Amino acid sequence: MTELMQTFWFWAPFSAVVIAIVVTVNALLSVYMERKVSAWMQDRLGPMENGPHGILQTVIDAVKLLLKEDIIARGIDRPLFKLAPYIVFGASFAIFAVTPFADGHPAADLNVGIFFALAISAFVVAGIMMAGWSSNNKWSLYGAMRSVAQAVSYEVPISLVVLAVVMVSGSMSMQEICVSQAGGFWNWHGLSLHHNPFLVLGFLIYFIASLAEVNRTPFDLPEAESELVGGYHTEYSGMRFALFFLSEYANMLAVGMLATVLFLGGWQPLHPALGFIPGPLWLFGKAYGFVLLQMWIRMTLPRLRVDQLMHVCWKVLVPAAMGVLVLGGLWELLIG
Amino acid sequence: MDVKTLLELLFGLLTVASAAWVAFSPKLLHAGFSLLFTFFGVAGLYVTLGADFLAVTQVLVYIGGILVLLLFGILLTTAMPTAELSVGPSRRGQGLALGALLLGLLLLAVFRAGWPLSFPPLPENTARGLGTGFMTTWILPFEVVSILLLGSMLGALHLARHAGGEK
Repeated sequence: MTELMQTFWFWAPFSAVVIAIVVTVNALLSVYMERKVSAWMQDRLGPMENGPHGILQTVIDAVKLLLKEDIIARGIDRPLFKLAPYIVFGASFAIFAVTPFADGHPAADLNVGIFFALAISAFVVAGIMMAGWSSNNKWSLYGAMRSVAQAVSYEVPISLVVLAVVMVSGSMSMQEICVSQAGGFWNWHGLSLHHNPFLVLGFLIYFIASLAEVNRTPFDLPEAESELVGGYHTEYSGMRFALFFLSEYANMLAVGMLATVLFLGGWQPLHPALGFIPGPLWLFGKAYGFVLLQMWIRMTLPRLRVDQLMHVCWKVLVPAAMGVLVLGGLWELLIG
Repeated sequence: MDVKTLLELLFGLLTVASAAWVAFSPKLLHAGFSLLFTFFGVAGLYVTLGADFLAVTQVLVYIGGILVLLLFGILLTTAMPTAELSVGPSRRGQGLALGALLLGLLLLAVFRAGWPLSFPPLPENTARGLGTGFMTTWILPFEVVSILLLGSMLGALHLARHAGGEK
């Protein structure tokens, strides 16, 4: 049997349970974090009533969401409307299956791992399109079209930068990419000026493009409340809306994890002397650093226009990513 | 029946069923979304056959690229998304004849081919072998395909530039 099959067979049940817990807890944690971060940045307190410092607020909100009625409007395309949330959720779930949580985590040692993570987001795109169209609502459709156009465009610089990292690490397995950055933070691709300085620029490109990939400010046009009501999930309620909600926060964490694995050493400790702290803590710590950064940017920057969005992608990020790929390759060939 | 055969059957069934829906669905957009599952099923078949790199490429290129383009095309064309497809009896006959011809050809090919009864062990890392092959033995076809793609890209850009009206 092939590697992908073995990975599937031995680790599917275990991974599925762990990832389900991670995805759910992540949503609860991220929503709380988002509220608190935005409150502090605006000189407010945020949720304070339920539990110490309002820590139970998101739990209560989640219960409320689950108890809500599942409203299905009359004019919609029923089968597609019902199917869409599962496709989007399933795809954002699948990315975690190839993420290495620790040293020797076998589920992640897939030799096409990072390529898989890039490809699987195609399902998110298709699912969002399905949701937007089947809702039979112009706001949903506009949101879906914006989201798809944005995701498809920003996929290009992301893929080019990931290719540069794969070239330097010599593997597409996410575990091996982590291993290739061993020995302290000065060896991490995103920080090492002495190994391949172009990857530091690549890190910046990846971060900007990943904000667009998960529809976060300043690239949150698909969900712009003031223009589109709520984007592609306007018509959804109850459990189906909760699935979109979960996958959105799962995607935020997923791009943070990918950034961590590609550019910040994954589960590698900051310094070899700190190796006694277990790998998953490092990985999640760094990934939540990215989530925090995403929230910080949301509270700081205004939204872009559609033409500016496309300008940033095709005229700035794509040429820059191309440069990273070519010059990074040359550096690797001549100096590295 | 072992797990591998079961998975193969499942993916095969998914592929055939969704492909049938692509052909028979009266709603154009439903046919388009059904294609998603066809491509996914084929990718699954590749995985069970040991071609993991090919499977991921299938998802990236066909679902991420071609399917999205197709759906965009349908959605951006007025009256296309809700169009009901209907086929007249004469067209149905032509379709049946063509389908039977293709089936006959494929069956002929399947039964004529001398299938090897023993298999070499599957490579551990298919991506590495493919990459090395592209850069050494198959470098010329690889470059020709790249030039073809570059040409079509430039052509598309040219068309898009002049379609706007301002020349």
